[in-house]
Amino acid sequence: MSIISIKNATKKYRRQHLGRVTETTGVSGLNLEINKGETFGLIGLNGSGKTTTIKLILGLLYPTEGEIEVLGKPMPDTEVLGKVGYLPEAAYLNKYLSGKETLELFSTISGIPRNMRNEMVNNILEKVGMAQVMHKRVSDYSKGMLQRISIAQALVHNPEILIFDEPITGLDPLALKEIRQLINWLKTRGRTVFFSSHNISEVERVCDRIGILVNGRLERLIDKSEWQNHEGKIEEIFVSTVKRSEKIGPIRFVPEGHEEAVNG
Amino acid sequence: MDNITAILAYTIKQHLRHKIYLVVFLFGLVLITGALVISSLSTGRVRMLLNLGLSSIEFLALITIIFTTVNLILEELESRTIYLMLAHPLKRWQYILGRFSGTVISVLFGMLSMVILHLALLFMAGWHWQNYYAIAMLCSFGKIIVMSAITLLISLFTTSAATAMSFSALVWILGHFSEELNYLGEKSANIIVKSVVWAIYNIAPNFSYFNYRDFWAAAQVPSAAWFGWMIIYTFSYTGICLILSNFLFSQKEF
Repeated sequence: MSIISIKNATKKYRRQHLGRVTETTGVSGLNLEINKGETFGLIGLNGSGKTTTIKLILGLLYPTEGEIEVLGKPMPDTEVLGKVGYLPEAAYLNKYLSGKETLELFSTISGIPRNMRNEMVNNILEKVGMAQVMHKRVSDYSKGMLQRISIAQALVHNPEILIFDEPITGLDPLALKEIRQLINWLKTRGRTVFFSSHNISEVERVCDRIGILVNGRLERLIDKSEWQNHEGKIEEIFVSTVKRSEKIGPIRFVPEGHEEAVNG
Repeated sequence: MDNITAILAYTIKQHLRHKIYLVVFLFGLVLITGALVISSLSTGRVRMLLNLGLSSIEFLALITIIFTTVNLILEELESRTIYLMLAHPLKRWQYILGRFSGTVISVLFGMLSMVILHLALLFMAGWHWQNYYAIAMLCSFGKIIVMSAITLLISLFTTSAATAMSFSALVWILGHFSEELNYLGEKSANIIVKSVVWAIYNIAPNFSYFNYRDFWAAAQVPSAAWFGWMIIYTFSYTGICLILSNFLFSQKEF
């Protein structure tokens, strides 16, 4: 059963400055179906359209063409968002609130009934290991603490779908392991996870299916059966797919004697 | 309703913990206390203390409302907190209404704290309570609500905080001289000037509806109809600005 359905979605950004209009394409003709309980990884270079795809799914951007449906409803649909948890690349939290106040705010706007809110907030604070420091202001938190509060806000309302935008970028190995553990925990609970990343080896470890975005186009869809028991297979596919389609050339700072390896 | 109150409470907390907000109100307290010193040098001491205090409260509330409202959405865009907010089942009109109400309540709170100090100074100087004071504060607060609504609207179609602040300050000035401007427009023979002035007169808020000083000078208590009209004007103007703000905000992509 399809939980997220993207049909021929195109997003063009138009910018106007001093009468000059520039148009760039975020994603182009994107078709993608994410099934219930699936863990889907979207990989691609910087500017390939990963964040645009996520914002289209969340209704933060409106498609120029095409349709996006989440749980059978066309986006943007605020009711559907009650069943979606979003973990952005960085913790976009208000520095004036404490960790607990932040979660109280997000639990309220997620539609958790008043009588259950306190219990759910305390539970999630325990789960992310932030119960001891929940009254500290967000501005006083370390990067790791911010990440945990950010995870907590995505999970506090027990969503069916989790959307993670580059959740492991810039994390230390321990935090990386914890995110992997979280995704595996979500998988065992039957949640649908959609996440974008640069880190091929991490995506390989947790995903059931992978999509490769190149210049806003979904160039390849790879099933787990294609890379299971084939170490380095995804990297091989990724490099060949990106190399073929990306317009920028390779880096030219090459040690003497290695030119052939770089030039292919 | 829960969503609006959650955003409202969040906005109040944010404003009250914002250092600049506190600095402005500390400055207000200093200014009102300063009015006591200045008034002691003149003959009409109490009257001067009263007028200087009321003007200071309104002026500082204006600075605060323009500053906080302009940054209300822009700051959230900069910190990207808005992505997280709108990725939740929160309707955009709920967000706008919650943020606006929270800001107005925060400024009211600041104004009340300055009023308490001002009244204390007035009583110490031998002043006796007059209802005009409450009317003056009500009028100032009405202006602040209207200014907050128009500033929010301006902040949604401008791209920088500085432009939005300048525009809002201009609207404040125009709002105080709209009757005079209209009079000059009517006297003009140039159709373009006439049309521009007519447009400004009808679009910019008309703060003459909040002019309590007319009653004060004539030692009259305004009629119920005057109060009714002021309240209707405040809510209508604010309502229109909020509807337009919501329209602009719902078109925005993040």
